[in-house]
Amino acid sequence: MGKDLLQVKDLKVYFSKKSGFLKKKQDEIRAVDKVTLSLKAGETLGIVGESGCGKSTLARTIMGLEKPTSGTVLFEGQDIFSLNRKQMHQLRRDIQMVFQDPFSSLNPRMKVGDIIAAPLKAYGYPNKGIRKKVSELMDLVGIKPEYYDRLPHEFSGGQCQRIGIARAIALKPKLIVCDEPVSALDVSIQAQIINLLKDLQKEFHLTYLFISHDLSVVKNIANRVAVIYLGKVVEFAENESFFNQPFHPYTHMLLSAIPLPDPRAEKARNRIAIKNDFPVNAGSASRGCVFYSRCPIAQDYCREHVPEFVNITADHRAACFYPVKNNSVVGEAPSDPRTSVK
Amino acid sequence: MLKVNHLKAYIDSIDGIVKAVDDLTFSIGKGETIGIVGESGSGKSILAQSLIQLNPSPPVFYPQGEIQFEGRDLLKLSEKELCNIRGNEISMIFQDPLSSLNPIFKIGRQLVEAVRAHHRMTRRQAEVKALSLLKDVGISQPERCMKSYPHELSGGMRQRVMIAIALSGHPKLLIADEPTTALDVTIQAQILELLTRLQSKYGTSIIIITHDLGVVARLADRILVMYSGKIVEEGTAEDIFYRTSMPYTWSLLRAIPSLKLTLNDRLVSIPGQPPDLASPPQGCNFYPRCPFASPKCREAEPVLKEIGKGHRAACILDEETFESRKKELEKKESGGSMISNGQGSVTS
Amino acid sequence: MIILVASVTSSVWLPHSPTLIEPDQRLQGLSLQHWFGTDNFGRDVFARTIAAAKVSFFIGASVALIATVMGTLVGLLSGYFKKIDFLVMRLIDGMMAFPALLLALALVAAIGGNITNIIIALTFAFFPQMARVIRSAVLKVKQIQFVEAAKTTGTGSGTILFFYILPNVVSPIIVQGTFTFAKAILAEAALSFLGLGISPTIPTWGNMLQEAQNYITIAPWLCIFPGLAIVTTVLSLNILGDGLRDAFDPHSRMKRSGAQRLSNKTKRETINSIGGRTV
Repeated sequence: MGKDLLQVKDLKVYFSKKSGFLKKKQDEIRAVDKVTLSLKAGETLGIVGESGCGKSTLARTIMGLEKPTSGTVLFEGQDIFSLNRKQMHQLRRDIQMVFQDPFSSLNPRMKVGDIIAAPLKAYGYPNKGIRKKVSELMDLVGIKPEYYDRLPHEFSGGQCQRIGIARAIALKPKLIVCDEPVSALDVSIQAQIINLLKDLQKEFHLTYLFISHDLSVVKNIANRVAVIYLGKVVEFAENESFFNQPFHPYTHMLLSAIPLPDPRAEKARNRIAIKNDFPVNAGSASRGCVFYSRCPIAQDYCREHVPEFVNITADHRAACFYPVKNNSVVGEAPSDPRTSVK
Repeated sequence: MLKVNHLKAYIDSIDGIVKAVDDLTFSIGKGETIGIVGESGSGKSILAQSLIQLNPSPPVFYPQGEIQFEGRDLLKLSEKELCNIRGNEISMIFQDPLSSLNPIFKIGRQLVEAVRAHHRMTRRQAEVKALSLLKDVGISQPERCMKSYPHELSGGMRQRVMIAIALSGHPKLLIADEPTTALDVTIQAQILELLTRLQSKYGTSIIIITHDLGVVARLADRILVMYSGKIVEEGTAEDIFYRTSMPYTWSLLRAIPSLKLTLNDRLVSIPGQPPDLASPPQGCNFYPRCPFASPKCREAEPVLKEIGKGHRAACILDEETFESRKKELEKKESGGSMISNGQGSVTS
Repeated sequence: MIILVASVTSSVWLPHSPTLIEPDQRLQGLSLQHWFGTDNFGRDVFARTIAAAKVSFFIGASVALIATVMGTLVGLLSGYFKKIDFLVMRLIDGMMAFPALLLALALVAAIGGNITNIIIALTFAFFPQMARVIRSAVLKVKQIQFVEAAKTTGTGSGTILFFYILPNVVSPIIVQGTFTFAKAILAEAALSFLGLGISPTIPTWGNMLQEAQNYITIAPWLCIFPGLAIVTTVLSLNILGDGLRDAFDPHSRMKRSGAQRLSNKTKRETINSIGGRTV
């Protein structure tokens, strides 16, 4: 593990939404709320959350596609939002992205070879070498180079995702942001793509920011895992410690919701009853813990106070007053709030 | 209750005839839950739509088979008779609840209309009924929900509303086509719980169609595994998960990223792509991707044969050979890492 | 198409000159010699109809071409760059506040009625619509992820605009272009009919109709044939536009999309039928 390649500090991205016609009042949507993360070169950071939790906005902001409300994103020590256009163009070389929808992220009117060649052309790669280089890339991701002249719709979802990956690695970037790269794919294809991503990481020393809603996928690819709920990071730890002893009740809820492909275990399982729906208007509740409304172990104290994001053990941080200590949230009455908080 | 006999549903497309559903036979009893599992393009959605004749025909046509529902063959009924059955006796819910609800009407209006279509009652009575339905599907503030437009609700809420609409006619059979695929895991867990609860309350039979083996592990009594339009394995949940007898089911089970694996484990993938249904491979459809394929597989399509009670699988390997092959492969894999690729060609 | 071919080759095979005046052959009915009859100056209506097609097509094609190019450019730029969008669109809105024909009428009245001026006037009348349509298509395509993907790979705005967005708005351009073609022919006829078009000596369908209106009771063929020519031309252009759109749509060649679209439609129908409404 090397030094920090990417540092995200107190990043906030708020969207304002005018509510109603002629009304002055503006609703603020806190898509990303004070997120602090760091990512070491060569490792994979998994970001997990439900849809609408702000994980995609986070990715887009890191890519420079969204302007932050406040906070900084440092890439190799450089604040990416202080760069001018030319510097930004150079930076783009080092940060590439793989998208969720393999079909809509490829231009339907371009040959796949040209799609993969696009980043090379944008950075002045000599014209003569392009075809050879693209063929190498196609071979690398498991697409036959003979398919250079085909259009994207002639490929299946998994193959399109491979093409998207080839495009992302064409410039030998340092960081690849993967926004749900496998969630649109079938299970059998999912495994292929994850394996491919892991192979490429090993070969080119790539760093991934891997966004997903699926903890079981993240477990298999990420060195460190961050869980996001309503724009806030609620738990952040190394893979092993994260899955061995998750502290945040939300993490427990996510884990318990994953259906197991094992009927006996599934029946024997003690599932956390999930309260309420995912809150729709995110960010309107500024008081108390964000997770209060759905938390199985919520106390009155949580409604009024915002938990700090603190180290529970070294390298394992969580934002909860009552971190789960014994791997079971169900039916556990937490100890008295006053004594455990102080 | 519902019996499907040798059903074939073909699609007439520019690329030739696509055998989306090819010679399917199964049945479902009262109060039973059947899971139909398959990847995209395996024909499972076409099958679901065929069951209540929703496929526009042409291009879909049924060269063979019958769908017996309580003594009537659904394939032979007129559109009007079918309309009576849909909603009243067989209902359906879909993957995307947003596009299934009419965006310009409030939930209340859509639900009340659905209720009144199935029961002779006044608007007032229907509203009361609608409210109780919404409570039934676990919506905490039914009055507020009635006054909302579909886009104001979250995905989970919309799916609940869809279930309420589907249940408004007290159907005997509910077909759920990927009901939770578009939802988050926590919401998925809630919806699945809801389906189980409603089933025990109303005694509805459920056909749940999904690509997720985890979902059927929880819900289904019996499971059909589909691959390129055909059933390749059929049995109880126990049969499918613990006495797997078809290489495809086995590979699929192994490909699921499990929480048991650690960071350094390599996922086992199924190489290649699902076959093109317009020009399927010769012999066994799974042959090109099968880890145990032998030249014999290419010669003839394997037939579904009885392995245990109610457990059928379509593979030429007998149980013993299959078991020993599985062990062999597992041993080999633990030795060296496999190379993943999509085309079958070796990558560097 | 037949009309187009016929008009282009007309000078070679026409039995009568479209401008030749034969005083002894005035207002003759249909005959073998004069297929569509003759007009009040004894000119052959068939010859004039075909000759007029040449003029009409020239005007229509020029207007369609120029308006399409201008509209596409404006639409692309204002759809893609938010900064200029507001300004350009308000200008376009201002132009669209006038009915296209009225605008053209005013322009022709101001600058005089020869072919060039008519083309200029009609172009100005029709290109705002074009720009509007293209802009909305661009806005839609811009949302699709591949545009963002191109940005993240460092592709410049110009390249994105012309290699990523433009090819994906081709079908609305084609459709709108052919409709503009048809509309321009109609508009030219209307202008000529109102006497504000090209000088009456040049045969155009509009001119012919205008002259014919005095004789409508005694020589109905004078207005029937040019009228028929306009109707068939406009109709076939519209059909051509639809056909071209289908031909340019990569999805219509896509294998699965048919089935997908199909299933979306059936979903709605199901909901309706579950709701009890007969479909």
